Amino acid sequence: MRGLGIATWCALAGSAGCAVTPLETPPDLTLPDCAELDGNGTLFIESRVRGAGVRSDGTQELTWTVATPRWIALLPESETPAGVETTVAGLPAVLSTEPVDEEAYASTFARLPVDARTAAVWARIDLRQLCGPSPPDAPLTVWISSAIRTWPWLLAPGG
Amino acid sequence: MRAAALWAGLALLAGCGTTGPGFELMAQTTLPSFDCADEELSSTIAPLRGRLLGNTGAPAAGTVVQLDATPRGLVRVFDASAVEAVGPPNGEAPWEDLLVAGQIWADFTGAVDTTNSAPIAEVTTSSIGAVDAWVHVDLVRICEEALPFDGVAVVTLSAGTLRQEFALTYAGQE
Repeated sequence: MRGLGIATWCALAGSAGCAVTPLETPPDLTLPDCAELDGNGTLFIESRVRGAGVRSDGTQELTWTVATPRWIALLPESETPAGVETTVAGLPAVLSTEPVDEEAYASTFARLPVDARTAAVWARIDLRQLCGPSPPDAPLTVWISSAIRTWPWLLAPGG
Repeated sequence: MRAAALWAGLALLAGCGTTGPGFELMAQTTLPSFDCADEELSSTIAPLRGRLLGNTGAPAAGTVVQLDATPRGLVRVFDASAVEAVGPPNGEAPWEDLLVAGQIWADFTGAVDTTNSAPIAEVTTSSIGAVDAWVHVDLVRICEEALPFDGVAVVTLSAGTLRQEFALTYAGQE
């Protein structure tokens, strides 16, 4: 009963610190180094945000914006990539020997309604670019935004 | 007045935050170096999304926030309607189903529509104190015209005495 009362008050007042449950964004991570990735063309990493369905800050949807499109694109969660399932920093991932199809449509922005508990996309990393002659010299970045805040999700090159 | 005091008391009991006034905003992102010789170089489009809190720590709704972007002419702030994007192929899976489900997918071109949308110098916070705009860093123009750029793009937000910087820093320029 007390929990419901707090949620109701927070929703009505819209007070700054009264989010019932904070949003949990994916952790920053270090990508595998190129030696480990040798022989593969694409790495997919799940980018999932978790949080309560009822939010006092007005968040009805989440957005992902790719800051570094040369290396990253976004795919829908429903499109499970083909490849070897693995993990990167504990996050679900898929490693594929296929190179990125440059003719296929790829997104650098996604806006998803918040399902009751979670929303997710796949971050598709082009390993030909990541491990090519001009690798990134700073973390690959995806900006994840709620209605009131933006978090940079950082994927540091492994070397 | 009595009702307001009661709500304040409940807020403390609930452990709700009593943070002071100011902007809640992503302060800085460092991006990889950009290469002017890259034929696929595109300008940066970054979300400027945060919140302004008032004196009591509550969201400051309906407040005009001034925006000052530098270097001038190379860094500009726009409304979402100016951001150019390519949508998914019409009628093709999986995009059609996702659109029906209320999702939006787009590929930013890196360009902004300056024909129909001018840069904005201020934004008014929403009913929940939110600031929502987009920052454009014109890397393409910097490269094409060999313009001086120290690798730091800054947007300063101000409302009364409150100020906050939003910065994009590039590791370098090749």
